[in-house]
Amino acid sequence: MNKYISVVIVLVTTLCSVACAEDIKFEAGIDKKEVAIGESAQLGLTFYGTQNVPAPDIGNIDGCEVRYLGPSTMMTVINGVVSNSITHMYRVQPLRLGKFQFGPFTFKYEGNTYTSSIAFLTATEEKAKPAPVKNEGEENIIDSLDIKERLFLTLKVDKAQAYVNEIVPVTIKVYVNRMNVSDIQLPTFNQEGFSKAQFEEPKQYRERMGGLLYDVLEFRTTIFGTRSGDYKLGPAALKCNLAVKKRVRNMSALDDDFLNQGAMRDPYFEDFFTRYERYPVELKSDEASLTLLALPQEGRPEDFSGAVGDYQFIYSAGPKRVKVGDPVTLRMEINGTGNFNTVIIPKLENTEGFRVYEPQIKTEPGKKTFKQVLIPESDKVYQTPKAIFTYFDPDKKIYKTITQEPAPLQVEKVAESPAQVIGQTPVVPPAMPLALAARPGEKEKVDSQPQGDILYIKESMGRVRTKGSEAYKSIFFFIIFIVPLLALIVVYLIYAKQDRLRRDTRYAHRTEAFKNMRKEFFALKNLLKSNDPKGFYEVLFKTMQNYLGGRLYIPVAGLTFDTVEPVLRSKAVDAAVLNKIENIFNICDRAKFALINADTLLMKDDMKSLEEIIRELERLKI
Amino acid sequence: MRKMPLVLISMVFCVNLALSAEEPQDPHSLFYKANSLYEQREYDKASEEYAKILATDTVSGPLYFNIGNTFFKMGKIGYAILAYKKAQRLMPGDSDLKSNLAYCESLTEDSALQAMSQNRIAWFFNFPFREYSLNTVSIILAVLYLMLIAMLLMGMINPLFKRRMTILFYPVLIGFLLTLGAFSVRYYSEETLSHGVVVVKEAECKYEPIDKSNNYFTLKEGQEVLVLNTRSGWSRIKRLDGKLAWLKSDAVEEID
Repeated sequence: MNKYISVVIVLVTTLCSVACAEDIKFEAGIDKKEVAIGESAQLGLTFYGTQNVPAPDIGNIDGCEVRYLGPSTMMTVINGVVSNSITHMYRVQPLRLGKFQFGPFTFKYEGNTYTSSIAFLTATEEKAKPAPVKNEGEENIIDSLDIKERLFLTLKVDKAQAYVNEIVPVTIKVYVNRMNVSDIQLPTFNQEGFSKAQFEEPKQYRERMGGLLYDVLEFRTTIFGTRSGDYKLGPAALKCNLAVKKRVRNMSALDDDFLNQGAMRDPYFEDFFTRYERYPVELKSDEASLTLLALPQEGRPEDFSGAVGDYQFIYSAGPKRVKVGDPVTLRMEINGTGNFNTVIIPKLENTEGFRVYEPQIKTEPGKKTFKQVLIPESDKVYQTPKAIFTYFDPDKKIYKTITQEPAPLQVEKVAESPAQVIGQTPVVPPAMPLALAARPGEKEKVDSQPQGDILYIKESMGRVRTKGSEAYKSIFFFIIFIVPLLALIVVYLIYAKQDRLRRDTRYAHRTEAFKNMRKEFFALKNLLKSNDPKGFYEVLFKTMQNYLGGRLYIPVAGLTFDTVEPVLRSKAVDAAVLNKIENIFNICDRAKFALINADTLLMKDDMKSLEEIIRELERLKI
Repeated sequence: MRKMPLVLISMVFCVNLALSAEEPQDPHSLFYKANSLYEQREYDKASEEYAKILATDTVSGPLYFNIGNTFFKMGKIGYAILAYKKAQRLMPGDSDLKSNLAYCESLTEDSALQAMSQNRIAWFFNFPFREYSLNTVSIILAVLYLMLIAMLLMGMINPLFKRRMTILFYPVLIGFLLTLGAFSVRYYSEETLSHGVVVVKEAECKYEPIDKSNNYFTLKEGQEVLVLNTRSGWSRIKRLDGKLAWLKSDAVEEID
């Protein structure tokens, strides 16, 4: 136990020391930019990388009343990295009009000097506020006008101008300043005329803007447009829930006065008398502009198919040696950055002598792979077709063409006539089923079909089964588990008993004695029925001898009461049982020499006495 | 016209009582007929034929695979994913199925949540058996169990055999324990939990099972959820990241 406690202490100490070893940053922030005379704002002095810094003395600020409210600590663990911070909160209330500067504050701690950033607050004339609408028994503490500054959404398009089909990154950010926001959903934005990719995993970080510190959630995606023109994107919208602090006031007017006293206005009591309610909120950003330029006509190659980006083209073919009718696979990989939706299979030149099948297309992040099956129809084919890929590079604003030279191919004749081979169904490797979506004319047939590649339907029904006929649902499944287990237990018990009989001689004797005693009991019952006292007492004596000999592990020959008495006494056998054993031995001795005239009743009593002795001795742990 | 797919869908996923009155048809001939309709791009008719097979209580991985393809072609991604998930339980190792399901899922916005829902212990046990259906795992479990019992019995009866079989016993024991773990995990996931797939374009999830309740979050077509219970036309669901909400029961179809 002590060992575990030591380990825990060492871990905690290590974590603390790691936390202490962090660089300490000192920042100043304020929750409002502007207040009216008589209103107050909260100034926060935050130390990142520690939680042990006492409240700095910020002195007097001319024209402003400052009151320390208390500390607030925070610990975050992001990807296993622990970061601590402490924020000392001050209430600042301007007493005159004007712009107030808070900071830079200088603070000395453990021999180091830290200097904060600056925060500004403008005090304006006091304005008569309309009485806020309040629900009965509740007070809305969040000022609705304040929300726009503390919770908002931005939409940013990385480029103001782009070409048709060019990928344009779009960033949507949610800014939150000291508000409790939850259940943030993925943003949506008006993208008419554009295709949008899925959002990447959102990033979370902090950003300072206008003297305020915001928690930022950043969503990134990409769009591309297909028609030139001037476009407006957005506004972006995002749904989330805002936890609003409500103060409960179910008390009388007197209680209310009491609550309004300075002590009860303390944040601690404020928290005690408040509760949170969640309200769905939809944030909206401003619009963004984007101009789409048409691709230049100048220098446009004839075989240009619309690919826009910056790409590399890798080409390979295999196997290099085949027979007529065997498939040859061309693997063409286009990788790089750009709009892969516009990348189509490179043009194959001179496919004469090949039967060409539909390609299999696979799109992964940063690359698109085409597997093209070709079947040589004669042995006169010596090389694979040349492959040409053309694209437009939007950064360099030029068209580029990558040409891959043919790969050498050795095609051998087969025994069958070529006509037969060509007539057969083409052999396509199982990993390369044909993509249905690539079939020409399919889109015209079904408009609602999503564009993409799915593999073709199965030709066979495979293993058919009736619903609910699974093996694990049948009773047989449970029988399979229970019956062998029971068999194992039975065999184990038998085996264990046999093993003990083999190893434990005392146990073997005892078991044997008990078994023999049971047999002899049957003989005694028969002798009792035939009323043969001599025979009865002979068997009774023998039974007694055999049982005691086996039970006490002593030789049976010549066993008398005198022999067994010391052994039984040493085993703490009851005196009454000893008396019974002695009586049995005595009666048997007398019967041997015909000294008693036994009748059935007496024999029955003696037999009963023997039963009691055996029962008693079996009960004892000897 | 708008209701047409829904009618077909209900034919596929519900027991068609009308069919039970008809003469039973051979599932294989129905399958080939449906396939030929699919090849002719008569997807509505193909789905009707596939539905007839399901009405005979016959199931198979390729059947659900083809149904998934048919729904995909009809533009019903949610139902396509549902059918693929059903097929996955019968033939999880099928590469065509993996490819089609992955493609359909890439069209939804479920990937981030899928990643969140992965349990490491479940993954550990399930990994060696990811290519096998629960039925196959149960058969492997039974075989290993019988082997184990047989070896124990033989070892008890013949000590010489016990010494010789020690090398084999421990691998079988480990295999049995791993299979037992995989079976338990899979059984819990497939038979105890009720997985569902959103089959409408957008499903508003609410805090309470009433129309006027606030929206909590929105689920997109094809997203997978756990259906906890159903009450008066509302289903209580758990999103893969653990969030609980209510949504209209007709917006989600259970995988089994």
